[in-house]
Amino acid sequence: MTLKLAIISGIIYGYANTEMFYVPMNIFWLCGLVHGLIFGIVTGDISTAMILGGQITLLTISQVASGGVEPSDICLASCITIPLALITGMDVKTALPLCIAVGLIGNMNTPFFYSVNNYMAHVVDKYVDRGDIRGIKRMTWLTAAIDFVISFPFAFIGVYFGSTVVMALVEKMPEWIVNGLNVAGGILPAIGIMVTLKVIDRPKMIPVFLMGYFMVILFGVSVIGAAIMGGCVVAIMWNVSAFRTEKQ
Amino acid sequence: MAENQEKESVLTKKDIRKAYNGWHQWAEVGHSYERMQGIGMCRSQLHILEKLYKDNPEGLKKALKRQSELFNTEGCIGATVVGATVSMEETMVELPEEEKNSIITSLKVGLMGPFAGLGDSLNWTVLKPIFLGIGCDLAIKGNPLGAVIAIIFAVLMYLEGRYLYQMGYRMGKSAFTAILGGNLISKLTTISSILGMFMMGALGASYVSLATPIEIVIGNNDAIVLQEALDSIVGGILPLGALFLIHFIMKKTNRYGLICLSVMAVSVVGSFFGIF
Repeated sequence: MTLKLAIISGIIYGYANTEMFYVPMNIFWLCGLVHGLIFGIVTGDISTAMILGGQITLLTISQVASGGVEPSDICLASCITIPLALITGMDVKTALPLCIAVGLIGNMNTPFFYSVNNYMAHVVDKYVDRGDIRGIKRMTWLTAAIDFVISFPFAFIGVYFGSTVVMALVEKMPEWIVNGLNVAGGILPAIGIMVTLKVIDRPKMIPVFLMGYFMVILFGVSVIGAAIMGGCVVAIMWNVSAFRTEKQ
Repeated sequence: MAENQEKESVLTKKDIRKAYNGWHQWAEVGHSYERMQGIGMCRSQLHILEKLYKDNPEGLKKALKRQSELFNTEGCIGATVVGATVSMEETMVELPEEEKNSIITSLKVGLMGPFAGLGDSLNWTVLKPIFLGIGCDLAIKGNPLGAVIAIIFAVLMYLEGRYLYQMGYRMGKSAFTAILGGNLISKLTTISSILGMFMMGALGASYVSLATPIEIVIGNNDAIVLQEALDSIVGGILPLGALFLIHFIMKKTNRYGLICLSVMAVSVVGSFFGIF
């Protein structure tokens, strides 16, 4: 099972690094939900895998693909942490700090891929200068293939050899560290949420944030319930005169 | 419509659609610091340039060169620029090379930035957290529908890009003033930002957790359980405190990785001293 998961993990990470097909690539690149579904179907434990994927995604919910700061490699974090947690039976909240570590390490390989792509761009240039359309087609496929091949091992090795390491670590950890990591797992989602606030960058709307917060705390509404209420309020605002700038 | 003005275009509707799918497939392949999406941009238009310059190999080389230069925008809203570029390549095919090069390149380079800004701020900063927030909520309850929400978002983004690409193609240069000039986008961004803020509040309340086991002993056996005292004021004070503490720290620094590591360190140390 470990080998199977390691191969699937390598394939997912390899595909994400070819960056082919903009939208599906971004879904693999920026969130762990689909990873969760895939690993869940393979192991048969869809529920745990989805919980892990959801937690990872929540942590990094505001990351934007291009420009700005990319705090971590969510794709590698999902590709390694979800299978590892499923194999070792690690607690979800303990898995989150591991996920952050993997994400931070993973982000360091971006310059490496960009350098490879830079070289390939110059190879493509030779065919552009000759006006060789078939050559350009071949070379762009080759670029994608190279990106796949060099990224596959990152996820494969992480899952295949990581499981023994993590298993040994989890067994020997003292109670207070485990508790501390659990506490951290509870606070960490705040980072993803607050980064979103920062990038939306509308400080005057903090009360709207508090409305959403206390609506859930005080009335126990679900997030989807809150989304429906928020959607209605926003739909009303769309027609309120203060926002109607183009007419009158 | 462009089709009516053109006497006889060599490009079919299928070619135009194919260029969007090509863009969608190749936009980010081979992304590098030096050229960014340039190679992908060129790759997506190969079949179009091949047809337009069937009898003009020199023009083809120049066109390939022009399209493979640095380009970088957002893939969906930015597809408007791609559509307009295709339409310009088509309508300007007869113009002298020099003139054509400067018009197309300056439009491409001048507009990729504003459209990338629009796309990043609307699609990925505001709409993505709203959709994925709902997806996460389902996923954390163990529901596979969470992944379906992510896929629905992906399909919507693809369709948005296809619509805007076609619009960019139909209107050519005038597409830009229609989108950048109107205030529809700014209204849409404001409205979605409000919904986004609201959703983040709801997500924060649902998934950020923090509690303290501290008990303050007064006199003989009376102990005040701090958590109960806090809850009697209003629920969720500690998580809200953590949220705004992080908010405050983020105003000072952009190093999110460091903030993550600090949260972990503080939690473990706090756990050692029995604060959490």
